[in-house]
Amino acid sequence: MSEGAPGAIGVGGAPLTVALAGQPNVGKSTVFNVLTGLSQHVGNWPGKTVEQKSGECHHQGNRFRVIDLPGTYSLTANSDEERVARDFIIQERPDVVVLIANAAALERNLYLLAELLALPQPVVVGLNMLDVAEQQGMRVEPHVLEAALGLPVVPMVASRNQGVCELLGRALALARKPESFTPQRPTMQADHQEVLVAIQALLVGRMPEAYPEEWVALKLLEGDSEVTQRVRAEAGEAWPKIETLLQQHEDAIVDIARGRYEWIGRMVRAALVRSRPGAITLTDRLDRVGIHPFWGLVLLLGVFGLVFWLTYAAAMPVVNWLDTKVISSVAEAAREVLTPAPEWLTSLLVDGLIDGAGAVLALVPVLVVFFAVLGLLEDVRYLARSAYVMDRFMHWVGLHGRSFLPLFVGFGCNVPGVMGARIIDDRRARLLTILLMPLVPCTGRMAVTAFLAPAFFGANAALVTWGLVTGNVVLLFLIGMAINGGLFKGAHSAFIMEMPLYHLPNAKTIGLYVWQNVWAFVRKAGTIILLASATVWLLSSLPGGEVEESVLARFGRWLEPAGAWLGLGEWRLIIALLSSFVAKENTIATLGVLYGSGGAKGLAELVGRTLTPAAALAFLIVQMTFVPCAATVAAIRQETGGWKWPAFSVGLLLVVSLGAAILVYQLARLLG
Amino acid sequence: MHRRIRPAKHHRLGFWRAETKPLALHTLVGLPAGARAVVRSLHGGKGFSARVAALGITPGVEVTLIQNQRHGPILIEVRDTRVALGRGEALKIEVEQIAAEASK
Repeated sequence: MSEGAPGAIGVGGAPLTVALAGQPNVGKSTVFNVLTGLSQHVGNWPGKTVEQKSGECHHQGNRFRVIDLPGTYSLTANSDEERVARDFIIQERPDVVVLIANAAALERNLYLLAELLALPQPVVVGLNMLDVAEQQGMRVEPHVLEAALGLPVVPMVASRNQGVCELLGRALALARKPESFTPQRPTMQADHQEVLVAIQALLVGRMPEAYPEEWVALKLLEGDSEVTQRVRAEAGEAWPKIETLLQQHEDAIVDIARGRYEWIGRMVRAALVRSRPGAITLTDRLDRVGIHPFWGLVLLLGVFGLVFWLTYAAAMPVVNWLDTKVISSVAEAAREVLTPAPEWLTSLLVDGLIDGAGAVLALVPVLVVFFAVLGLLEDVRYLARSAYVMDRFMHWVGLHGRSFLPLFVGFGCNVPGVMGARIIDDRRARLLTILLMPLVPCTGRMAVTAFLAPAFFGANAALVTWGLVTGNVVLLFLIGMAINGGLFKGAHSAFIMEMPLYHLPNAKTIGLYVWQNVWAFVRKAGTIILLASATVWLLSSLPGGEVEESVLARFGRWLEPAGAWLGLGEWRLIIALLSSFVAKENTIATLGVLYGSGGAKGLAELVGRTLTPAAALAFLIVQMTFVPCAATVAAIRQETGGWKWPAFSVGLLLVVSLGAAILVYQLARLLG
Repeated sequence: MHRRIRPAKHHRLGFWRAETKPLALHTLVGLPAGARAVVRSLHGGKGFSARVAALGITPGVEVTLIQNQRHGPILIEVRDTRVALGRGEALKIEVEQIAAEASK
């Protein structure tokens, strides 16, 4: 965005803060990506499980700090996203708030503007997706809208990079002259206006300075839970009076909302022209299949199959190549370089770190493909349809369609799946989704299965793998029903979700999505998995340097009698299983270390020969359903705010996986 | 979900009791795909009302049913956007059907 126009008055020192607000599905992230590119910093809002994205950009010699507020429909505290968005605007007081609005759903989008205008910050409207509006038979005149609203309205098609510069220019101009900001603001109906003024009067001098009294009064009338709690705590003796007033106006929220839409209707009346009402659009046609109760499900299964086929067919050869060629040659090279070093150091670096973390990093291609396909499905807005189609089935476990999305992500990696559960607004449903996540077989576990199944079952490997995945899904539903019925007493949560129009995918958006997810995984491999690989190596080398005599071997042998229950009377397998706690894909690396095989090819057969088919099946079952990996446990702790639920999850899966494996092993033995 | 739906205040005075000309008052669950209706009231408490209002569903607005099967969620079009609602949620939205012959 650096234009460097001559004569621009540089505002030296602190950059201007621009908060990017908008409802979901308005192309806000496209705008943010165009503005900030790779300067993005992704983190968490302090104390909240909401993603915080910020970045920098330059325009006419000025520096901007751009904060991407979470996409929200309103500024009422219905969800953490909404709380985060409004707290930022109120407390951090950005120089300008830029509202990105979808021109194809103008009225609904301006609802957020009506809310923003109750706060003092100057607002610029970026009227985005004008091309989509045109396709939908709507013409929006930005100048007319600007004149009606009394604030800058910038026409944009962010996906084609149109209007983004002008948006920054108008934001800059407004930030320089905030006093010029005199918009039309929505007003209340007369009867509620009286109460509003009365409550406002009671609040004078009782609220923290940053909070405008009129806004607080408005939110009280809307029944905003967070504001109500705060005022109850801080208003002192004024609270009973306020409470009485509020009780007399219980239904105010509906009237306030209606009032806002009436105001919006007046604002857009002249600016919005509908040319061909009721035209059958592309979305209508695609949705005839996409959301059909039967064909939609068929399509979803097809998409599902395609995702996995692409992921494994396209990425697995690369993984094998990395594993057998690149990593082993790195290991060889390291061994040569390290010849003068003591043997234990060579062993630590080569057998421990390079082999261990390397095997995990070799999975990166799988994740790249998986997240690219998922990002594509999200960007064309298909994922919302999948949630809609799956809603019926998610109800079986007391969840709704929204929970399907993070569970789907979990097939790539459970960690972003757990974090993705944030999109579920209901706390109970979010917790249940997180608890079910470890039953979704991630690429790590699938890699282990794909590696071992052919050696164990030969031609039947594909069938067995399919059966294992189905088994996981069945278990997920059974356990979901049990937790929902037992722990949560069969509660039901509300399913309310926008079904956006289909949308042409944007390469940059998908690229950044892949980059952020894969980079998070690589960082994990670089820290947790590296440390764990070193630990496994240490335990398998001490005290004498011989695997057979090591601490780990002794521990494994001690567990052998228990392992015999599920046919795993072999300490190496038990240890390999335990090491999957570090990272699921570690199982292969550990088997490699313990069986001491050089080439990966021979390893699977070597292991296969030691097991009966029943025991091999039991091993794969435990492996597919075993306790969540360390990174997932850490993610669960972070998302649930304590150790209680991660501990519950580990305990639950320990019981489930061992139980399932023992059952299958004993049955298989009985049946021969 | 199972509690009876109270008629909203403004209904008590006028047409709620007018039995001569029956008006089609339903919840969203009771309407077939293709039907058009005007939202009359929301019955789900403040939190529910605030959420659906932010998605465009307020008394007086016109909605079109896009999909309503016997099971599963309901899809409506409201203010140029499509919103999916669970059946439990759709049951809390009271509507009045308009011009049934206009249905597709």
